Amino acid sequence: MHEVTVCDSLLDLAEETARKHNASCIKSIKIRVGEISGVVPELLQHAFDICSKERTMTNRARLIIQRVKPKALCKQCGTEFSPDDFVFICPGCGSPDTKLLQGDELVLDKLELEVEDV
Amino acid sequence: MCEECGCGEANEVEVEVEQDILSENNRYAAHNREHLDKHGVFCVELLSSPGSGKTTLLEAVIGSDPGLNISVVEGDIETQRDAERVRAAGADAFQLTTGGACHLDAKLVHGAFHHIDLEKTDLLFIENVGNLVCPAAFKLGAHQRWVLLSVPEGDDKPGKYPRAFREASVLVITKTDLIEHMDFDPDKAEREALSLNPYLKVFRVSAKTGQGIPELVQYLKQGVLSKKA
Repeated sequence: MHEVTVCDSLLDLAEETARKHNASCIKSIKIRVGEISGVVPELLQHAFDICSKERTMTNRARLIIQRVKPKALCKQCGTEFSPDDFVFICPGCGSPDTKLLQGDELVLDKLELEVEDV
Repeated sequence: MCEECGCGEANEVEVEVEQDILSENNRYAAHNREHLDKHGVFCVELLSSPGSGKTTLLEAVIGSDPGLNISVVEGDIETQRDAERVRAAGADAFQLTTGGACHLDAKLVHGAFHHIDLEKTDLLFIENVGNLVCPAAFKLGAHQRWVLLSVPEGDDKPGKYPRAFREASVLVITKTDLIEHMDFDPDKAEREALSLNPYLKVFRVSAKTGQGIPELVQYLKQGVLSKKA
């Protein structure tokens, strides 16, 4: 259950960014969660529902989670493939020498802010 | 804005952030790494499920008298027990207790650095909270992450906890003295781990019989030397 820690970090980062933009509140927080990031989106949402209410900047904010499927690249033959069931062996040439292109990310993508007229 | 009640026209804006959610932790981890490099300390993080023998492995390494100054940052939910064990074996140790949290983070570890004499340390171990899931997401600043898999846990664990094995640089199969009593195929465990991470260096050790400990200590010494160069 490290989702609470991840959620706190997300709220800190969102709040800090919103302040830099002179926002009065955050309307929505859009994030990307890789399917092999180790974070369970449902648990993160649950943590968000509780933790976001404790901060005035985020207490009306909506969390939008975009899940990202893992994609890998074979360093030997250049085949791009989906490492289903965490098998990171290239389906093209059988090499295990592969690089993860996406799927382990935890990224704050966009914020929708309410900014008061100056 | 209306001066009476604060209501009024508000503009809605969309802001692109595109930043790692754990960037604050990553910043602390990078800072920890700078500290280690400044003092020429080689640092290894140990990650595994509870009871797979992290502290026992440390006792065996320290007890083998490798001629290195070893310090340990111990991470547990509660108690000072592991730090006491490591001190009794002959190393300097500082215990972090998370009070319930399932993992260490880089900021906590940074606090522990202030209680360890890095100037007098050649090799620093950070023993994470026993857990194969949550700690994997948090970088601490160590040069290498070692994942331990003990024979009684079963040879099917790498595939079940892929992130821990994918992001490690060393796999230590521990308690090999129990293989004859268990349905554990070390070759299968190794194959499965290597299919997740072909760059893994694998050791098979028994802290009880001492099997594999000299090879592992030799590897640690190479790491220490690389930081002194």
